[in-house]
Amino acid sequence: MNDLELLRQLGDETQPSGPGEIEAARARLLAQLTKDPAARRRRRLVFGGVSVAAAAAVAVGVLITAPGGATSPAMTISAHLTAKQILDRAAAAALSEPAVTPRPGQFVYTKEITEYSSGNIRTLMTEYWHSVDGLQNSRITTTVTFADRAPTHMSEIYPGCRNGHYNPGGTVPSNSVVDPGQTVPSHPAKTGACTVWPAYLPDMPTTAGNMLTYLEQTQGVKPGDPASLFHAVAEGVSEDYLLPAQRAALYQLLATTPGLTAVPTVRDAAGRTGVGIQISVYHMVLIFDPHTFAYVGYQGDSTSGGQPPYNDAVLQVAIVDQAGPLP
Amino acid sequence: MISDAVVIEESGNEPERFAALFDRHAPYIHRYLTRRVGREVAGDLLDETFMAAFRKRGRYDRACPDARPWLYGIATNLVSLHYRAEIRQDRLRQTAGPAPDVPDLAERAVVHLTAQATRSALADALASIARKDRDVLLLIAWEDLSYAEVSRALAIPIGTVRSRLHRARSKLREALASTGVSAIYEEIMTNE
Repeated sequence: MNDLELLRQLGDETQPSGPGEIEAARARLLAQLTKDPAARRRRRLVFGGVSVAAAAAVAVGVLITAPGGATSPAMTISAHLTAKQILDRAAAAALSEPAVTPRPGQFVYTKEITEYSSGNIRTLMTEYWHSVDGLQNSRITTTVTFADRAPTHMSEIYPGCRNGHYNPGGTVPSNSVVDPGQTVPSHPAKTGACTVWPAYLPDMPTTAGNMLTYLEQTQGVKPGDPASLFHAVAEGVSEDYLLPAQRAALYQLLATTPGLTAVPTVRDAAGRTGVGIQISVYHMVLIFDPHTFAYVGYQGDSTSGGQPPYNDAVLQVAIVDQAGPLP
Repeated sequence: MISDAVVIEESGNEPERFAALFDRHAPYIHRYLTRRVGREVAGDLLDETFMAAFRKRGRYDRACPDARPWLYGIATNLVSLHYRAEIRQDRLRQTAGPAPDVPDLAERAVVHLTAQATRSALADALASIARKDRDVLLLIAWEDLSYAEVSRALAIPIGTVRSRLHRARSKLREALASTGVSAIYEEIMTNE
């Protein structure tokens, strides 16, 4: 027996992995994959044919209608603000909004445009009816524009998650966005184990002090690491719906972070000009309206995940009773 | 079957697709990690391997349809980090005074083995091999990777794979000869 054979014998004595070990690891991985907020947004890129005739929706309140904007006198003032001043004003602006608490069973409707600065996909216009409690089936429709062909309209029913299992009724995506010439293998239907993915997090704190603890416990924010805090706040403010006090708490917490800089003028994906906040080590800019200091979108982190650089702009947010077109 | 490269590309838009990669390769990576760090730690490193792979997926070389060597490479790096952390902790413990029930680091540092004398001697022999040479040796002996696959996994030229394997085997033979383990082990195996 030579040395390699001897070594192989030793290796062969290792018990094979138990099915329980692998299954548990798979569940942990899946929970991580679906928890990643950046990943959640990208999920909207995946579509399936859908033939559901949606019932008429009832809008109970349009919470944000971000203004179309061009440079105006307000810009010249807000362009001189520091990062902390911008965030303080954004917090005050958030607190002046009506505190509408979504009810379980309702949906948060968001309309967003995402713009890519490289690659074949130019823009995505996404309308999203996201289940408030994560138990109902959510609906996503997207219009995709390309550099080299006509736009495509796609939609998907994203099944809600009850008792650890997807609801029936999720659509099997029949097509997805790819470059010409690529074939798209069929995706498996979303069935089996799942993690609840609500549109609104009632447990998120409403004060800056509690928010830090919350982000450390749930978002992996490390004490003394401003970049991880910035990241978590950025993911937080681009959640589908926050109470005004939750939003203000995020801004107030971020305002105390060292290393922030203001970006005097920054363009969002809808072509609006705003003021931005960024942190040196993290390639993402949060954009605020220069008049109202409402959050309007972000410039994406082009260095992570191999995604092409992209910008995202929020056009409308509302709470509705049905996952269907607005009246 | 859809290639790993396609699955990885799709997971850029739909993260759940990455689970398909896990289903294909996790049993192999888990067994490898168990061999290298023991069952107790292998589960954690398996999680870390796939999360690291997920984060790096945008940089995956699409020309390679099979992702397993890439995953072996990530797992091997994590094994190395794990032992570096253990050594640091061990030093801290030594500074702080004697630690109770800490087994000999040399024994744990390479393969997780029971206390049997033969295995312990083999573990000592492996421990005497430089870490980079040992990674090559174990990927070939235990995981049946080809030279080309090891080259991909560890991002080193094939010539380096050959020379590291050669060095590792010489060292292993030398260590085994000095303890006489090879003969003893062979005897046990032929008796069974």
